[in-house]
Amino acid sequence: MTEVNFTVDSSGARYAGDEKKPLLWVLREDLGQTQTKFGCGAGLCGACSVYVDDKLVRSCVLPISTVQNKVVRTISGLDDELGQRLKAAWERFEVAQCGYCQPGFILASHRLLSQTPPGQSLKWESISNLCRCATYERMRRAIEAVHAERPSP
Amino acid sequence: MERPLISRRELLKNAAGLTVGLGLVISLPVPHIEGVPRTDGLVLQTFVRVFQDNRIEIVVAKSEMGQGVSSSLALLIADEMDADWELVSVRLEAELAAYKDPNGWGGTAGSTSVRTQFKRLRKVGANVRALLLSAASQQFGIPHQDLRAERSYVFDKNGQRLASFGELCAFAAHIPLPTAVSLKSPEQWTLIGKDTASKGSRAKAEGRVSYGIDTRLPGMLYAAVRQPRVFGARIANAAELQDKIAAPYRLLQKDQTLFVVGPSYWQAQNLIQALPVRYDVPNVVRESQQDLIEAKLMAAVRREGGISVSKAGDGKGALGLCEQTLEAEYFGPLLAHHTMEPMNGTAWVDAQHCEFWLPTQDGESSLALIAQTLERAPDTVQVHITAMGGGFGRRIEIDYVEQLIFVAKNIGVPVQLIWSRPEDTQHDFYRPAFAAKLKGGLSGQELRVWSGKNAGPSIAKRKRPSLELDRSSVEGFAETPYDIAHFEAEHEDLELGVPLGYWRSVGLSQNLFFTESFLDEIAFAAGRDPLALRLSLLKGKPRLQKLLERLREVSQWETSPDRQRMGMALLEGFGSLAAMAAKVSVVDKRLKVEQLWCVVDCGLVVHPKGAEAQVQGGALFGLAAALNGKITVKDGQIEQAYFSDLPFLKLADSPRVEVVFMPSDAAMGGLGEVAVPLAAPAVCNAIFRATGQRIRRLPIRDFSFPS
Repeated sequence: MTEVNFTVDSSGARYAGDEKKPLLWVLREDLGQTQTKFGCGAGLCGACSVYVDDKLVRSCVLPISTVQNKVVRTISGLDDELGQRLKAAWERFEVAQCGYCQPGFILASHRLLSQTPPGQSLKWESISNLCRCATYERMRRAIEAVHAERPSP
Repeated sequence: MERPLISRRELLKNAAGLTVGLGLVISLPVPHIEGVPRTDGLVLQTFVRVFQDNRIEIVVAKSEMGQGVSSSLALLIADEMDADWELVSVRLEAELAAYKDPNGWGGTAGSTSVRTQFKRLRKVGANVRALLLSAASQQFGIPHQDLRAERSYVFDKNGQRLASFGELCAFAAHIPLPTAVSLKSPEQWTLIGKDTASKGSRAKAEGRVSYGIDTRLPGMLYAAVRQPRVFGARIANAAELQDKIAAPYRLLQKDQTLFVVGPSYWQAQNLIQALPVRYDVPNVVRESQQDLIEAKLMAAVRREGGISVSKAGDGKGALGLCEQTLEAEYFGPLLAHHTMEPMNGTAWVDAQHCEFWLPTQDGESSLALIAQTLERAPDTVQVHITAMGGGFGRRIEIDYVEQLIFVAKNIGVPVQLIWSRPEDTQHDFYRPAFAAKLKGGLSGQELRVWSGKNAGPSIAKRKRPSLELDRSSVEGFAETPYDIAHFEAEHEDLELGVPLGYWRSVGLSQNLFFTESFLDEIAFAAGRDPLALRLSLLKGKPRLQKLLERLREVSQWETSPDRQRMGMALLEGFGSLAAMAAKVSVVDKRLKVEQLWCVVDCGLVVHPKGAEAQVQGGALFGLAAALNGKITVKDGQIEQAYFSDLPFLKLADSPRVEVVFMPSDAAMGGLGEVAVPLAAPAVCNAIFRATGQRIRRLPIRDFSFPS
């Protein structure tokens, strides 16, 4: 039995239980937060993506013990300016079809844009998430639009 | 026309005070109160609720899996109502028996929702508008014909705003429904065919949509599932397993399927995976191997015989008279659906409850199965159809519902059953593997004879063993859009020992790859441009000709500097017409699909934004399968488990997709599937033109490309 204290989207959270339990299942089962999705359980599809501090992780394979005293940011807490712009673009371009994988994609896009200075070309291959509805065309339009509207430094 | 009745369920809700601010509920003569489904009255598949604060809630009783019915069906009602779309919210629900289309199936599949509900739902909206106008007429003493509705308000003939729909609903609830209500003419539409925003885009971007797997109930337990990996295997050591699972977890067994139920899915899944299960495997199953499956299919298409499914002119007999003949053999593999949200369901079954939350494309069959298994009257079973993370035909099957019923009944508290990804991959109902052999006969540059045989297993025979010909096996094979003097198609049905099901676009998904690839082979053998050859075979079919002309323009088929890297395909199906051109490149031995162009004629385009999304996504869904998709069998089991075994199309590999609609007066066609089958032949035809390599078996990734 391990006790883990951490923050989820600016609220304090405490978990007591098996230290190997992945963050995804702590969020979904113990904290009742279902906005982060289960897709494969093997870190392959990216539906479960969240930030832990500033690192984007696949929460389905991340043991809860590793988030001790850290800050977890899910799609719900992704409300910095870039996050808001991305969500607005997702709405404007109507990117989602079933929508299940989209929170993971928005988080991955957030990281891609955070790491790409305005004006530089985007490294699409850094987003390895999967979307079976194949919403890629609109997704790319939305990301490009957000990238284009960012002010130059 | 009857007075609107309030359904039993609405009465319950009102009595409990749950629906706050409810002003008006337009509902139907409820079939299970009336005893028989009615076709004459106002039968609403969809509720409309108008609230006093002028909000409108439209309940869509079809399954939403990303194909956009929550917008496209709701806007049919909203347009005829003259509702303000901004004030409309959509709720997915299906009190199935009550709101079922009396002329249709309650499920959601086959690209049918909009075209089958188009008139019916507009009538619902028109009736609501007429009712509200008549309320205004009586309340303000103004003749009905001097009133009009616009964006959820009623105006007089001078343009004076009289009242909102919400203000009228208390009065409207007590007057009879008007009779002889007429529908708008197309030029009066404000939402249909317009740039109407889709509902739910924001909620999806914020992760606020509750899918089946997100259902949460008080004290809910989770169930993990383990089915035998080898088809037909039986558990040999059931007695030894029981004491391997300690409280609070429980082991359940139904036939050859095991369940571990307890407070954590993750823990239940770990426990079930660790169970030392031994299986007895029948010998016949051991022999189920991929090469044997393929050999069986290829042998079938090479031999004479089978069912003749269509014939024109002298059929294949005319081949002997041709100056030039050619033939080719093709193969399409088994495919999995791989919805992002794995199979799951939630249920609460005890003395007081019989309630299910199901991400399903077939709520109707689910409800019937629940009622039958639990020996309950159907109207004592509640089924909520949840939002679902993809369907693609997988959720037409209700195998996981059957498991859930068993677990819920035995556990007696709320329980959510979730399949792991390997279970989902290895216990799918797969798109059947098929082979085809095609022969063509030319006189000069003219295609005179077409003969083909395809072979593969039937999907429908699982439920209807006596079926002579499963039409889905030959759709797009028994007939082509082309005018060919001598035509013949044959089919042979083979059992492969693998569970089969409906995969987005069904039989066309493999058959169009066969026929449109072969037509391309014919074009090159005849020294003709593939698009020009098709046009020459479409005399007297102006819609198809226009479609191809448009494809020629948008893809710059003849003028593009890249035209030697382009291929195309054409499809007639789901009531629609569609054509695709693809552009590919091979750089450093790596194939890249650079661009797809899709031109679609589906008659009226009800919801252009949603329609475009369906065609874009469908094209890429088909491309993902053509490039990478295959499921293979070894020793009677599926070899693939995780996504790593099946490299899917990712964002960086995804070509640009340009979609052009050609609205026409033709009857409305479906859109959810129409682009899917086009990708494989269009891309393979482009690969041939670019590299000289003809791909006759999928997936494309099994081939290598010289630079």
